[in-house]
Amino acid sequence: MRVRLLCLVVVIVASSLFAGHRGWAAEASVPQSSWDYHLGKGLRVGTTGITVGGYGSLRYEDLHDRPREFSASALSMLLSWDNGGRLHLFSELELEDFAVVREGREFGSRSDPFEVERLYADVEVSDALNFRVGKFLTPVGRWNLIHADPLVWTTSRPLTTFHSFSQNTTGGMLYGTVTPYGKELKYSLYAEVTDELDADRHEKLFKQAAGFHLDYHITEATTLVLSYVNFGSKAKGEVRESLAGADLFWTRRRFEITGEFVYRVGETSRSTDQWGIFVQGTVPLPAKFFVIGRYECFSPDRSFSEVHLWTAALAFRPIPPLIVKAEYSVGHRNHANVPEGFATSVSLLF
Amino acid sequence: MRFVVISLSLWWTLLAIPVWAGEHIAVVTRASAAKPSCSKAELARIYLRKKSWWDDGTRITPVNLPADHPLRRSFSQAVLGALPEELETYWNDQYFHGVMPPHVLTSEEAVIRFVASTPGAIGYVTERAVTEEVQVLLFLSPDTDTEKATNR
Repeated sequence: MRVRLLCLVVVIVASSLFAGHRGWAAEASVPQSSWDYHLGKGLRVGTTGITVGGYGSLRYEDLHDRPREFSASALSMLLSWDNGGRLHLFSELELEDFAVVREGREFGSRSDPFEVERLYADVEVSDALNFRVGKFLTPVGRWNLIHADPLVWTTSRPLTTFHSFSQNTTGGMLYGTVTPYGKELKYSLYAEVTDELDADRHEKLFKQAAGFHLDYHITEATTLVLSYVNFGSKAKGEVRESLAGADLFWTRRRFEITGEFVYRVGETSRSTDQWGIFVQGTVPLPAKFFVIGRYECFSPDRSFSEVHLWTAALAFRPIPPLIVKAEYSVGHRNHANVPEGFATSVSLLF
Repeated sequence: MRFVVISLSLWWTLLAIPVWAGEHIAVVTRASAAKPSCSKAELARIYLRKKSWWDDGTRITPVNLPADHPLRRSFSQAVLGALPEELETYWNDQYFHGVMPPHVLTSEEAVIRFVASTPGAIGYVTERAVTEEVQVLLFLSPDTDTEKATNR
């Protein structure tokens, strides 16, 4: 308990040092020949069109039935190139769990912490039509597309947002934005070609995936996202399966409600269908604190009953690129051994 | 004492009134370019970096004033429905995807110079700052609902 409190105090005090600014203006000026760095917006390298930045995260977990653990859980480098033309390049290179201190064990790291998280080229034809080639985040739901620690409100991630599909796809994508009836509709159609860029491809769920993603702004505050993907399931001898998802996001004056639902169904047997749903609310408090509550229900297999998971969290965002989080999760019928307990983290976009 | 209090109150009131009070905000592009049509909704999409191309195929380069500039705050509230600091979460998400917010210029004069010399650029200034080097796409009324934004 003392360790938890100490962790919280350290991260909050450290964060408060950044909170002295009344305002926050990390915006780049028009490109000059000199280099231009802003915290949370990266380094623009003169007039080359290159921007280098990234994010990092430290995490402490005290979970039920597991040794306590402190880790440098993520260090990602975002590297992009955009010189004002139609071709853009983007990459995210990640070190995951590269330094881990586990109770009762020596200092260590994940066996293969380096991963090319994203690496792609975009060709923009118009606002309505663009092409992407390379490795990108699989467009299922909303969370998977903004899953970086500094961008989400909780240290833990709902199962619904990653358990039933591969988080990355390597192949081609056609995407764009159209405005039917004055409402914004973002679409993407994509297909996987290879998994050679995946360091952990043997654990990957997908093979020869193809799908679409629609992101519709119902109102200025409300977005509805629909996703569908058909893929060969590696775990089941490449049997074709489908996953459909829907999610809703509402935000107004820093209040947020978000929810995602996915259903994964096999073409041969219904007994292994998976589904999950979560709902999360975020309420702003004074002094740049936020309180978050989440409920998730996940069914990993029809032969078992559903797992229920409740999470209560507190987040402190003293400046936009920095977030400190602490949370406690409780499960019910947790036969899937979903992590329960206390977790805290500090994450920074740089 | 009362005189001092009244004087100070008046002084603070005057400070709080934007220098352009009553003036329209002029949304401008280069004078030599073909005049594109632009609604308030399209302007919002341009400044959120969701719309990147003019109809003639020119890349759009929007420029902003600093986040604490009164005209920027008025423009942001009128067009984007939020103050600059309320959009930081949005820009964090965009940064993760390699999309950057519009570049910032320090003054209206700098905006005029940049827009006048950059194909596809778009900016905003007070009506009285408009010169012959730029053309006005849209006027926004600072004291009324921005739905009344007018093309002239």
